[in-house]
Amino acid sequence: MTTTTSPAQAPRPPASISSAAEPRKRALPRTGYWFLAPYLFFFALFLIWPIIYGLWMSLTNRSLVTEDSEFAGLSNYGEALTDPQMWSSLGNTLFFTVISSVPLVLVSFVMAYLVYTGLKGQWLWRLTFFAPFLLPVSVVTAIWAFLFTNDFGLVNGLLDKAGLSQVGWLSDERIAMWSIALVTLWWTVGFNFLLYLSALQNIPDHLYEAAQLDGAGTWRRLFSITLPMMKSTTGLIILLQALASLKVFDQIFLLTAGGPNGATRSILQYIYDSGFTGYRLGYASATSYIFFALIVLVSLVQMRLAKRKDS
Amino acid sequence: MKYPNRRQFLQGALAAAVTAGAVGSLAGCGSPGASGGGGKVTVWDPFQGADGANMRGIIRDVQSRTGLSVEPTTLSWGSPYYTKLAMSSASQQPPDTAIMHLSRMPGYAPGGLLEPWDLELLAEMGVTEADFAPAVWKSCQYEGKLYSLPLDTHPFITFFNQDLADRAGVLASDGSIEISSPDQMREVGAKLAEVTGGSGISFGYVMDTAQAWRLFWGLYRQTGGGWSLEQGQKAALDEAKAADVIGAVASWTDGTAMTRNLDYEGGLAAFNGGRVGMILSGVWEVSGLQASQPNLGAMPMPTMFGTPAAYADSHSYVLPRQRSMTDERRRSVYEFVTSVIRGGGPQWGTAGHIPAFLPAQETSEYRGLRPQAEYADAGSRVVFDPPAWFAGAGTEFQNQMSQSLSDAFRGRTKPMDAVGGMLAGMDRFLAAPNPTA
Amino acid sequence: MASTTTSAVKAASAASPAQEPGLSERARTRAQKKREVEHLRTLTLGPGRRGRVAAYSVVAVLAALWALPLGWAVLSSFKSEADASAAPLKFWPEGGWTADAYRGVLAAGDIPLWIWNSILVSTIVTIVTVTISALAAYAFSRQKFRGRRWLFGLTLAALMVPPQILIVPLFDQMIALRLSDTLLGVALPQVVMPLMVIVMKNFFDQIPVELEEAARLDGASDFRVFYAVVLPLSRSILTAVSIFVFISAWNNFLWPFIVTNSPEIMTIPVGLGTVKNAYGVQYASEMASAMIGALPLLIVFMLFQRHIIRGFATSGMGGQ
Repeated sequence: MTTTTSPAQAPRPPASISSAAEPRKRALPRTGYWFLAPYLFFFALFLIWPIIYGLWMSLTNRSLVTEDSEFAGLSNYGEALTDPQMWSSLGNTLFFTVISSVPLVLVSFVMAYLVYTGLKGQWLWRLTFFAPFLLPVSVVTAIWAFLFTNDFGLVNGLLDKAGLSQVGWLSDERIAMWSIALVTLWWTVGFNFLLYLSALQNIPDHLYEAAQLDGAGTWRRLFSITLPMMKSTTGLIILLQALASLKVFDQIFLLTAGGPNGATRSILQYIYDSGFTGYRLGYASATSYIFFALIVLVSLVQMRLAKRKDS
Repeated sequence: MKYPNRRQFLQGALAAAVTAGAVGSLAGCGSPGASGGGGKVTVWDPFQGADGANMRGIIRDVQSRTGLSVEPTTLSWGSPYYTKLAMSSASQQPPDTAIMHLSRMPGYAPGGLLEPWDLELLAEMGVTEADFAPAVWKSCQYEGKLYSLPLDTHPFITFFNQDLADRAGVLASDGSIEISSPDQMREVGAKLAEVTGGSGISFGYVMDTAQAWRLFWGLYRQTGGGWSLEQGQKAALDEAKAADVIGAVASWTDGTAMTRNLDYEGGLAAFNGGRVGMILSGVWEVSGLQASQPNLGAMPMPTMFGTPAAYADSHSYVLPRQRSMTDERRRSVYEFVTSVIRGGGPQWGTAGHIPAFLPAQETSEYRGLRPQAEYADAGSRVVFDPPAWFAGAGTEFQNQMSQSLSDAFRGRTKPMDAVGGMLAGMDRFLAAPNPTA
Repeated sequence: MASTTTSAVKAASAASPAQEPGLSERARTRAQKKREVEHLRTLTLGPGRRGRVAAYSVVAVLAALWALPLGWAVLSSFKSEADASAAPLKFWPEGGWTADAYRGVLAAGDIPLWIWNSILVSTIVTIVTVTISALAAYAFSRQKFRGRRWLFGLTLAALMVPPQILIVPLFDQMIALRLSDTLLGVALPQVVMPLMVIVMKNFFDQIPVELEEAARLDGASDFRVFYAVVLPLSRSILTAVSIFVFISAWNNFLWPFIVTNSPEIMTIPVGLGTVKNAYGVQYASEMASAMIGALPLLIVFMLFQRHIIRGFATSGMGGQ
């Protein structure tokens, strides 16, 4: 549903015929099921079935290490909702979502705007800002774990040279999550950057020209034309970013594994920990559905807001 | 819409190459059995650094001696390792054999993820019960069967700087330090502190997930205190004795006799830098400590509460349950493991671990290792974690116990409160459904 | 003054393509593009130097910050182990530059194998996903059958399902299907991407139906119409979706991490993240491994930058 607002760069059918979009109900072949069958097969096998099966698992005490399992009713859900560790990992996740989303949206806009203005060296800027997004997560964490090391890590090494004391970037409970957010900013900002860039390139020049004739300066043009034109894109990016941040796992798992002392444990890590490390697949399924409910809630709220805006 | 020819060519070439490769290899990737490799013994371990280098050296020796083909894989120590091991066993594609801490075995064997060792085949390969300390052998059993074959024991002991100890006048003529009560421990610490001008003994436990528990459980077992951890019931400890032990440690950590606020790395750094004269630590740190303080002395944890007991764990080999296993392959696996245990002891010992195979301890090679030989007899009085499914190395249980304990060690809570905190933590584990039953 | 120049530029850029017969078409479009960029630069940053200097400084600082981690990793990968972990920090290695770390990593490790696995898995995922999604999207766009609306609604709803919540049941399912620890087990659960179906349906919706009708009058079957008429018109969207799917599959960590156990089945993100060097953390080797792991996609990106950027802008909305 989000794609209906896709940006200008989206490929379009050949221009010569794209005007005639209306009369498509005439030819209606009846082989629809054959076209759909392969997709439906995988859809049912790897999406619908796991959803149903997972729901069933969440009502049992299914274990990773034993064969038999018993029906447990809603006890897994009850336990999860009363487990302070579940709530603290949920809290960590929300905290991460806030401290990562804000810079990810702001910085990506600044980058995109600067590149959009047509500065020379487009290829270089785009490569530099987007390249980290193409790195596998374990490459990202290997690099940053090295940068964050004590003594000979680049960050602490520079602090040392500046005569400041070293920081336990990943080992200090109060700082670790901020470090993770920093890594995430570096790694994924390129994605938002691209979305902004393609939306910016959609702004017709004549708007600026009109404003210029009205005597608006460059700052004025940014605030009264560019930013308002970016409103819906920004809304979309915020939603996508929030959903992506809520699903954080990879970089935390590889950098701190949820530590120190649980300070960076995200809800997905809690699911992994309880299901695979703690063998309790049934309980982990229940937690998955609690998390799913949260995701659905966020999506629905956003859809609601988007609809209101449209009408 | 047209692109330069070079690019079209590149695109085409890339697509063709990838497609050809994919089609070619699809046949291979569909068959899970192919992953094991023909006749190779696959083994997992969590050893990195000195341990890892030693283990790879031992494996190389075994390969050249026996002609076996062995494929070792090293994964991150701690819960990532055990999680992956359980997942591979559950998906019936585990390695042929793997290293497991003895303390983790009770979390695996009851679930049916492990096969017991065949004693007859072991005996045929020259490994029998008589070759191991009774305390260790007993802990390797579950329901009367042998599930762990121990490679080593690695107790929690005391290291000291012989020069500083000598200057402080606490070094006995046989090179040990006489400590037989908690008060004496504090006195030794205070004397060492006079020499160093700072603290006497270092113990890095703050923010650590195991150190506080290691010290506590060993000392608690010295008191002869019992425990009860029955699923679904309340946990029980001898609360008075537990509080005694905690109170004793808290009395040491006054910042003078013993450091108070050091984490694990800080504890090591203090000793390596010569700022303290003694450190409470696991034997696996011996290489690093010796590199900084060549005149390193060592002794088992002094008996301060009556009964000799040394907290320890053991790296042991287990057999994850396989979907299928031929006799020939089984023999290869047994031959590999017994070769490592019988022949690798002295080299394994260089990194601090005490070889579990007693004849290996008697070799002149191992006897010549200092200070390893000085604490080797700790291997005969080891105590392990309680055999509960949730306990053991790298578990959340150890972490929670350590948090309760370290608050009391630092004087933030009273010993009795820490005991209460530990019991409450144990109760939570006992109340949670046991996923291995 | 400013307004006259801009309108002059505008007029020139509108008129020029037809009036300069001597230049090749490409050179002309390039020249026009240049004028348009210059025009936009003036519009957004003003005609003076001040705006430009400020913009260049900010973008340069940001780019430097973003390049620094990778740059440092590259430098360190060409140092000896001792120099890479020298404290205090040294930028210039005492022992000189060396490619030893690369040699060691390539000789000892499974990295080439992991890269190969990643290529296989990403290729399988891309081919299967694009094929089944294109067929389904065409059906949703053009064909009438019972349950169409309902099934499409289901696909829309599936957008909200985070794949991460399915790992626990899928793990069990893979054991039952005997697919755990196989490349197919890594690949197949990744082929269900409802977003790609929707992206392609939106595209097909805009293709005028007359072309298909003409082909059908000539007696072409449904599949032939799809294959011979629709697909050739859809090359841009197929490229965009393929790129997006390939890169997502290449960088996927969680599912391949859950389903693989043997090092020889792992993909590059999983292998680098899980299998450890038995000889301890050696930073030059770590950085060399990381650079080798980073290289394939970076090379692909440099070759196909324009396609990739457009692919992400198109398919990316909602796909992260």
